[in-house]
Amino acid sequence: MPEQPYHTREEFNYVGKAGLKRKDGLEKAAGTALFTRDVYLPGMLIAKTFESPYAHAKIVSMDTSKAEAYPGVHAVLRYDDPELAYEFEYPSWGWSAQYQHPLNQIAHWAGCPMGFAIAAVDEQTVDEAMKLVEIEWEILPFELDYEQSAKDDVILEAHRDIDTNIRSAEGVIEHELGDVEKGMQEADNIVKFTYIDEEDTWGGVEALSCIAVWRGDHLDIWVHNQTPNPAQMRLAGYHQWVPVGYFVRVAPPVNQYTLANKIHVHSLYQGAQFGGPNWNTWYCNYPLTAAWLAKRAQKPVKHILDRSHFENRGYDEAVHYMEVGFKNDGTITALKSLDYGSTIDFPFKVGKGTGVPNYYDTVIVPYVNKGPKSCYRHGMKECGGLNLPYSIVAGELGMPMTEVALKNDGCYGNSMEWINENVKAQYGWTRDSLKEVIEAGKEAIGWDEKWHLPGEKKLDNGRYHGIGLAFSHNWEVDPNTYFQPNQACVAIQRTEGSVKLIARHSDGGWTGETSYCQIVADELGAKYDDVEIRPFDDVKFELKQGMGSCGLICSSVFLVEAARNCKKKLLEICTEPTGPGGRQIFPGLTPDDLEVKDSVVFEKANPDNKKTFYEVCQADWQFHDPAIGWAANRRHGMEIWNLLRQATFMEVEVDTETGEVIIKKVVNVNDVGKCVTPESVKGQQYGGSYMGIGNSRNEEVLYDTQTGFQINDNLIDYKWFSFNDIEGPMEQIIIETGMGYGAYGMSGCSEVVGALMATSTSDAIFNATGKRVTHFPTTPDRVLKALGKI
Amino acid sequence: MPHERNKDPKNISRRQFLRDAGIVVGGTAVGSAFILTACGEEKEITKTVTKTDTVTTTAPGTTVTQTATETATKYVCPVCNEEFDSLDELKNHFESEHPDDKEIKDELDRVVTYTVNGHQYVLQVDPQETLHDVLREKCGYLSLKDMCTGWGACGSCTVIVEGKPILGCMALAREFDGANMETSEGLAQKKHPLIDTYVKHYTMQCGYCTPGFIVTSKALLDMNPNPTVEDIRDKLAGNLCRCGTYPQHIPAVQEAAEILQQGGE
Repeated sequence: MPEQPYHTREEFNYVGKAGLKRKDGLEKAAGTALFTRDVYLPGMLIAKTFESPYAHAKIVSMDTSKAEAYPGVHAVLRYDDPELAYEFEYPSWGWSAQYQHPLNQIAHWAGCPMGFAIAAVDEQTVDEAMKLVEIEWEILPFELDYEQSAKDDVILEAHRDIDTNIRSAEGVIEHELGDVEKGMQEADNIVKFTYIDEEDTWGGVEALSCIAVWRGDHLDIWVHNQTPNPAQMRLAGYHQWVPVGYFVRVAPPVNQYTLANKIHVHSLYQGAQFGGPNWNTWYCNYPLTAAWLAKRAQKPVKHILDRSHFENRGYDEAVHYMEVGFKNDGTITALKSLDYGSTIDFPFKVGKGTGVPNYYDTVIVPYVNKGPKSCYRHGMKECGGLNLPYSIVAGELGMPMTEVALKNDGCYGNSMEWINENVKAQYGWTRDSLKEVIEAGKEAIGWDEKWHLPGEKKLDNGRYHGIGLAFSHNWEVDPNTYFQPNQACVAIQRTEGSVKLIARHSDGGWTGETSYCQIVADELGAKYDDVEIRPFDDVKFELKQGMGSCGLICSSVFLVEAARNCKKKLLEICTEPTGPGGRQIFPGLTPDDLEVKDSVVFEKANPDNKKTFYEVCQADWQFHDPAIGWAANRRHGMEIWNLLRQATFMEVEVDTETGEVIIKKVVNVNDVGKCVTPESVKGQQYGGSYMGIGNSRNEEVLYDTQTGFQINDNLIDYKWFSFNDIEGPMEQIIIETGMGYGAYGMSGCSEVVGALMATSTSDAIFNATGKRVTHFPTTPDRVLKALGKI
Repeated sequence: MPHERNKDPKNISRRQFLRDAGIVVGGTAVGSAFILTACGEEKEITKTVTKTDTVTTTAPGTTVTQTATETATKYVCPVCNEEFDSLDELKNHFESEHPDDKEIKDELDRVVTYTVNGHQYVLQVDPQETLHDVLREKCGYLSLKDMCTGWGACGSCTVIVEGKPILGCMALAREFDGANMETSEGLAQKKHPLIDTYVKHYTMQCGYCTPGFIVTSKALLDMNPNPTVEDIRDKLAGNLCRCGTYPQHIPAVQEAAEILQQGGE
């Protein structure tokens, strides 16, 4: 059997086992788990950054003297203060120009934190002092529409120097595979359609905060941030080059002489972090502001932002003009798209997860006066770009979507036949992930009995029945080419023989602590209950946390290696003649003679010859090294193929009088390669479903077009899905083909689930009504519009 | 949280005016004296009284002495030092006997007593303070979260008051004088089965909303010991979870109900 890309293992005691006690469970249930917002320090001040009252405006002059003199105010930081004399460059999706400075002089969106920040004895004093700041504004025109902005004659302030509103960093991006014109010529049919995704918002539940306190030239800082390492680097002012280009230009250090190892970033439990927003500039800016205010005030400062649920919006907002060419048997020959939106990511899913041989995509990323955008637990846009053309082809030909999906499966334009021969064969992989996923999903939802031609099944209750499908490749990140330096240490504690996993890790809610300990326990031969990680403090070892996606996949690789290295050291200690007079713990034996299980080292040929970890640690401990192993991720240049498939099957009823879509059943089938913690995977499947359906059915940021302000910036008017919003049952199916690139062939799943909800619902609505809704979220008015009723 | 006083009477906000009418003293668990400051003087208005009863039993050849100690809180009038068994009695006394001492009366009106998870607190609360703020910042019950930041939309600040779940962010603290309250910390301390079943069923992801769900579930089980799936969905529908754990709450609540019905704690 050829070697698979990463570690394999024959037997597992804990990995994949259900029923293990969740490591973070008790404190989260009891309410004693500490989140950043829960940190209170003696003498702590409260700080806020001013928020712009205009969608686009420039501070001409600003007088903060009255605020500075206001009783209870300890520090005021201004955009023109010398500490903030440098700008930062954060290229990303649709918002880079908005946050070049922690306290920008220019407001680029309504509510934008900018101008100045105040630290005072309490929040009310901060609010009162803020009202005393006098600002002379230059009001500027604003634009909220991406497509319009790209065509506008009015150039927005941030881009005056380049004479266009199209962003300079990525601007117009063209993606090409094969020959799209030739592909269109080969097609029997060509269909054009428009696909629109409106803006939604991240909505992390714990309102933002950051606490900073100086102790001499050491800075302790608590960040509500899934990526404490970039925050630390930013604070230290280190130049950090990364492939996608953020942090390309860097700030001066908070203290010119402060190195990162004098900055101690504490990452407590994180109230709903879902990736992208963490590396948004605001997340790196507010620790900087808090640190400077704390330095000026010589007191601890807690910087808060209460409306942070709406501070980061989803990066899916875009309008796509698409064209699909296909043969009468369902083979897609070409796909073409012109996109105006906030990200360049659109075509990725088509490339990674299909055998469509020809596509051409032009992505135009203009600048608009909206808040910062980033990805969070979804990728609806990319999955829409993949699934809507498939669904349309199926609809045009009267075929089930399942057949179109299987017919066009592949990777990077290569067919599955080619993949089987040239990719899978080298690792001995024989399984067909999409086929297994679709078969399992069809059976669970009763596809063969329930699927019908569009609009042909009216129910007794007057509604129309529909069934739909959306699928994607797995979310896959090559663990060893990941851009963040990650490392972990596994140590057997000399005092008691317990096992400590030493690494900072930011809790994303997916039970990382539990999964990590399962892996370490299996690899080291320890009892699961003996392994602990307390990941909050800055120990200068990082588990993977660069972006948020695929955390366990990336961390698993060097967790396995660290645990194996620790085991190697343990067995050396057991057999080396280093005790008094050359005494050995296991006399006359070599490491190969020994095995480890349940925190006990024993002789393979004589299992009664054994010692517990505690006994090993206590035996002649003065003469041995400690049993410690560590590992780090590293580059290897391996080519990554996305071979796992994941799908959502959706059954709905559509009320054609009201436009209401009732979810009757959801089946998620996820090939996760190797499942580490079954309850956690199912939790991600449930969670992705609720968030994804909410995104695609309800959630839309609405603006007052006269002022540019969001008019639903609270959780009453911007409605998340809650308990009763999905009427029918959910079924979660886990498939393990082992073809991922994490340890044991694992891969991620939660983002896929969320991303597939929109188009699986859309496919089901089409099956119910014969009318297609490609404008998301699929609110009742959009359904009625598709039906021609409004 | 510490406050600095604004001593300039010409430059004073409404909040500061309200606050400066008397010094805000953080909550104190009964056992230490609660100090009220008014008219430039500090007065202890609570004191702990210890009562010891000694019983001596004599039998042929032996003498056994048994001692029983009880502690009780007395509320002391800051004007006449008369002692009362309850804060209400003290307030009633003050209103009838010292009607002209309006400044002290105002201060006394801001004093409340809570019993939270079995612990008694005497607190002075500002008129605009919410129960959420007081329980978190003065009593230290951090299980009350503030997901929606005060919109009453999420249920993360739910606390059981006199057996009913209420939203701490929508409730003014001074309205709950004398109330008995339960939070998630208290349920864990009492080893309520919901804590274990939530852990067992992985009924959480990030965990920020979890205490609010558990407290709501506890109130549900108190009112309805054998809830159906629909009952659970309906009663928990006011709690938001961005991670989407909703379906995992059903087995956790059902199993806790079974344990309770079997007499488990």
